[in-house]
Amino acid sequence: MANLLKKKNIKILGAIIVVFVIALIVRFWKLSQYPVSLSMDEVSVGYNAYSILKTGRDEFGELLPLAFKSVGDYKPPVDIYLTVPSIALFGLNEFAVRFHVALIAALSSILFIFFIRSMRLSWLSAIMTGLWVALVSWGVHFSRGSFAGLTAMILTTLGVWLFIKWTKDKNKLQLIGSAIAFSVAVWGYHAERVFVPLLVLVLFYIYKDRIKFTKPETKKHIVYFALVVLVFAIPFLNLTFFTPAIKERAISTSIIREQSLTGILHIEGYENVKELIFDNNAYLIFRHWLGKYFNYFDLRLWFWKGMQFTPPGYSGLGFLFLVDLPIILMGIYSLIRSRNKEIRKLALFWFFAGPLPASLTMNEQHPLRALVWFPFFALLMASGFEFIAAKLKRPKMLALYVVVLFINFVYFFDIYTNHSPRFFSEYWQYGYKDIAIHACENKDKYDNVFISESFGVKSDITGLPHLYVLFYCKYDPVEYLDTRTTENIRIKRPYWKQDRYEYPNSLFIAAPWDFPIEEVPEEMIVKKIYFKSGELGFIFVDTSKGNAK
Amino acid sequence: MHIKISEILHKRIYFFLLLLLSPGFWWVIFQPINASIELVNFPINVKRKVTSIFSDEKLRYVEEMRWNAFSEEKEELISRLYYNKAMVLVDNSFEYLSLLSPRIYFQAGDGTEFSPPGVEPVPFFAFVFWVFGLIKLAKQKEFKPLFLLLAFPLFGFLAGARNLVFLFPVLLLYIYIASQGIELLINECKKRNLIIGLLIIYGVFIISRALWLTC
Repeated sequence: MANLLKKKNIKILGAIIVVFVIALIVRFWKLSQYPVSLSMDEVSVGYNAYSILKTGRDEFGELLPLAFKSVGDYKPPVDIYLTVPSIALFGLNEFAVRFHVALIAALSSILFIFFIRSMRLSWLSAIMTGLWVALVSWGVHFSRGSFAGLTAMILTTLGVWLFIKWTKDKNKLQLIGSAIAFSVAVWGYHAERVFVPLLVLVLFYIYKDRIKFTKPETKKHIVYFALVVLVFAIPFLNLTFFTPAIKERAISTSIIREQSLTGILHIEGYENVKELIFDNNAYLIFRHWLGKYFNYFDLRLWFWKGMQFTPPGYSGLGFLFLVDLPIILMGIYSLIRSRNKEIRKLALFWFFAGPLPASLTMNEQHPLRALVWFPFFALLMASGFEFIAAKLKRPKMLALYVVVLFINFVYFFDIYTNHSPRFFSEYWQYGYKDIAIHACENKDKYDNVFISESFGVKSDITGLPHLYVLFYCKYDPVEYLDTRTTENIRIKRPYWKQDRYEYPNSLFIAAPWDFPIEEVPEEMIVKKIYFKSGELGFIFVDTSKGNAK
Repeated sequence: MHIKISEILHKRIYFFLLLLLSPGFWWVIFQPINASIELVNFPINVKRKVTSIFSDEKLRYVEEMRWNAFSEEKEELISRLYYNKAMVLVDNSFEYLSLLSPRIYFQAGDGTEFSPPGVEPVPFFAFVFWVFGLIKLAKQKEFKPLFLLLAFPLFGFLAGARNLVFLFPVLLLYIYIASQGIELLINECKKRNLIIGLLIIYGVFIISRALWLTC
């Protein structure tokens, strides 16, 4: 018997290792190349982490900040501080910026296995869920970039797992660990600031029978929990009420600022009583929010177009794979009929509350902000696997699922590495890396190097080239804090008619339409950058090379 | 006969209550002429829709993806396996399923004259009951309404119109499912009357608002 148990444990351990290795490979394969460029947020995270490493201050000189002002969006601090060790290890480059999220995400496939086990589901279902987490598009994409939302979601899941463990084992360290995970998650990403407090209250409610609040030992544990939360909450509340850090971000992304809403609100009062009753602002705001909220309950979003990897009309990818659809349906059915009240209640809460934070913000459907919803789908998938293995008693169907999952994964791989870059490379600020490197290598040849912040083929995009210059030129943060300039590399759109005379020995880098290109002699164009779509993205114009027409 | 009607009314009291409180129901039934025009045009629209499923435009998207897929060896077997007419069918399937999106019924409407202006066709709170109604049906293994739910968007899909005239059966079925949820959630509730009172007030509010916006 002991031997059998041992054998079983070895099998489980082996399966967990296989899942982890798959998760690692999927996340670390060409990590620096896909996504095709560091996004604005990623370069900002990278340079701020570099600055913290070198000076202990952010790019604005603030000592160990709890919210990074960055480009005025007050980035949450967790991911930036987590980036510091990898930058110390690997240097200031793409791999270092993306390393910690990829690693944490790979580890999360193991976390999800134990999370599902804590819900009293079988090892088989848990390991299958771990494999799904390792491969699903929603998780993979956001773990290959410095996306704060993913770290926060994983911390939230860790918090739930430790909390559930505590309700069984009554080990105070588990509850303290849970409090730390939840608190760091709140510090980690904006969506968690709305979601986690609700989740914690609901967890205490769902597990009230197991917790037994009247026991003196339990009371003591809850006091520890509250103290830990307080330690994290006090500086957070301070930031919220006495600095612009939290408020500004919340206001800038809030639905309240959307033009489609502000245009219909009665800001200067109501014309009559009927208007006050039937067209009051409260209802208008509520209805506007409701639309955002319902946007997330859409099968097309879940299974077909949610990841926004391709433009309308083209085949795409949803939050989940197509092959997951039957498993999700079985999971719903299995959950509904489950005798496990706790998992049922938790799933129901997560179903309704998951899209809540994302629905309070501007975008129609935002896969990153909706990441707090991810564990709900993991629960559904796990229940679906459990249904197939235990209820239908057809574990072979799971093998079939794995085969189709890999077929689906190949499709995802192609969309992710081929199609998405060619459709959307410009939205990833593709080109600014080459521009920054070229500018740094050649800045001594010119009086000025001007980089335009405006570019794009499909639309006029505003970028943040100065961040790319800081990042790729590895500007010394001490020097940058002192001068606040990048020497003769300046951010400016060309005004060609005037600039060609005013700056005779300069390099202008901008979109071809920004000059426009027809007015620039060919010999003055020293370099061109094409987007992955093959369209011309930037031209480098050397004013010392001749005269304009 | 009289007894039977009162029995049905009593048994389905929440269904009828929700139906009466749903502006979407009134807006469709009070536009019989416009609805008839839609129905008369149905066969032509079906023809147009069916021919558009594999239209050149849609196939061009597939071909373009196939051309750029996987590797430099264009049009190779694996590209053909992944990017073909099946993709168009999947896309159409999700277009079909999107006609079941709760947003149409509980918030936005269809954007045509058949939707009440500025309000939801079915009061938003019915969404919560709708979820619990689905739970109740699955628990009781009552799958018939769920299968009907999958069949009903067919008219809307074939007509190529996100239109409450064609989606009227879905709207009715959603109201029915929500009424099941009400039964599950508040039948045993002590504050049942208070909750129903609040629901009625909200329902009256949205119908009045829709009328106010129309006039």
